[in-house]
Amino acid sequence: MKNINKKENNTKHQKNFLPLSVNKVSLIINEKKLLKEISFNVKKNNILSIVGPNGSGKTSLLKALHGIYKLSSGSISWGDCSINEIKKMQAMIFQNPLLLKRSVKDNITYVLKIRNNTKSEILNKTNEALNLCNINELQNQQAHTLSGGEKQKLAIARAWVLDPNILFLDEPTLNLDPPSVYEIEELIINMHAKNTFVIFSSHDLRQVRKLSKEIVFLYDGKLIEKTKSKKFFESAESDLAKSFLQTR
Amino acid sequence: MSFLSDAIVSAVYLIANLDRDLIEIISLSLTITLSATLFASVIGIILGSAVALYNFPGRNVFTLLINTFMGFPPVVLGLFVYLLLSRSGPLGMLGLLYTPTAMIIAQTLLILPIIIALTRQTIFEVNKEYNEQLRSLGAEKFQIMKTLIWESRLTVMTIILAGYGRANAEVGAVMIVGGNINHATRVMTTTIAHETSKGNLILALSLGIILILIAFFINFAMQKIESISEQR
Repeated sequence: MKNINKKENNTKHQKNFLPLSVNKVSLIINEKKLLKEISFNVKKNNILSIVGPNGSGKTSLLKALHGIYKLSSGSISWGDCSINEIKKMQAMIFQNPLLLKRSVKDNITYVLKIRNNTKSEILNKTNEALNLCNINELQNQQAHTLSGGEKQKLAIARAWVLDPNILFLDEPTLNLDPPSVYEIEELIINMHAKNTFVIFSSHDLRQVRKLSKEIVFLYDGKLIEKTKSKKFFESAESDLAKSFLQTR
Repeated sequence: MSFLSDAIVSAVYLIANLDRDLIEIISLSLTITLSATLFASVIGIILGSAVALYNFPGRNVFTLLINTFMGFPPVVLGLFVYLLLSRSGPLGMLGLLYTPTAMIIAQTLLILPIIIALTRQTIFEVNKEYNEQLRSLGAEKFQIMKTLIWESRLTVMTIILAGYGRANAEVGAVMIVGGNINHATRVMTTTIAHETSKGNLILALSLGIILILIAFFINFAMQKIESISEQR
């Protein structure tokens, strides 16, 4: 993790935090109501985590915020940004990141090429991302031959080169070993330190407690609580949240 | 058994002596088949991918028609191209009938539906897997299309081979629009048909063996390309 701290000092990005406003968002897919009139606001750049039991709508909410799902009703706004503007400011890391059938390095350069970066930008940003995520030695390896942790680090490197204002992570450390979990958590902290608004979903309450300052608790597609992390763990308001915490 | 061995000996003899007529027929066959495969591949891969990814009115009808045309009888297609290119046809002024160009057109039209239909199916399936991730990375629709074609390159190569195989084996359409004119439009398949009707079965069979050998080497080369591509 030495590289991370060094790079962090070298790259000070001026990114504006975009306040998030979710207003009565509902999502219906294949006649199934995945999200039910969810409303909340985020006014400060804290790491926000979305928690809840399986099927509570965590991934659906992340994808709706990211713009992958078209809302059935309601609205989501990010400051004064238009939908087209915001699309270019976001990146998402999926639970099982889909890597292209090419080398590690080519997976990173791909995202820079489709966003029309110059050759020198592509070279510099790729090398920076490879070093930052400690996958420099793997750069010529085929992406599909990587281990789970390495794949997730590559997915983070791919998001990192985009220098997003907003980063979504869907259970980023599921099924990973403790050292990989630690490395990925450090990368997330590092991204947030660069003024990236991080929103992630997780089942791992230790991780939620470690990383996030604010929590959105979902149950059966409904927002049950949106509160400070500390308050959620010490004195959750709803019975559903209390029983969720007791079973973990 | 001796008939078959005679044919093999005859084929080896023809190749070893670099028979001028044979070389002419083989090179014309390859030129026509490979050109048709190239044209149909370029058009078919782009069109098939676009049908898989873009929504437009009549997409389902188009898909149904393309799937139907996959089994279009070559002789009927040859007849359509003949009517188009004949003197009294709409493209008669081009004077293409009984030329290799007419044969390329017929073969291109014959294999185009195969390449469109199989590419559409492949890209449609791959898109289900990749779409969210690629959109999330910021790829636009055309970039997604290019990426999906590249990601399914091994399957696409197999589709091209299927198209080549169909063109390579074709005789009916090229016979009608090419006329099987000696030293002009005579290709391997039409020569085999011609020699068989003349009772020259050994020459016909030896040409058949050469035809299969060519198909084998082309497939072998593709397989090598595939394995290199897989390792990269």
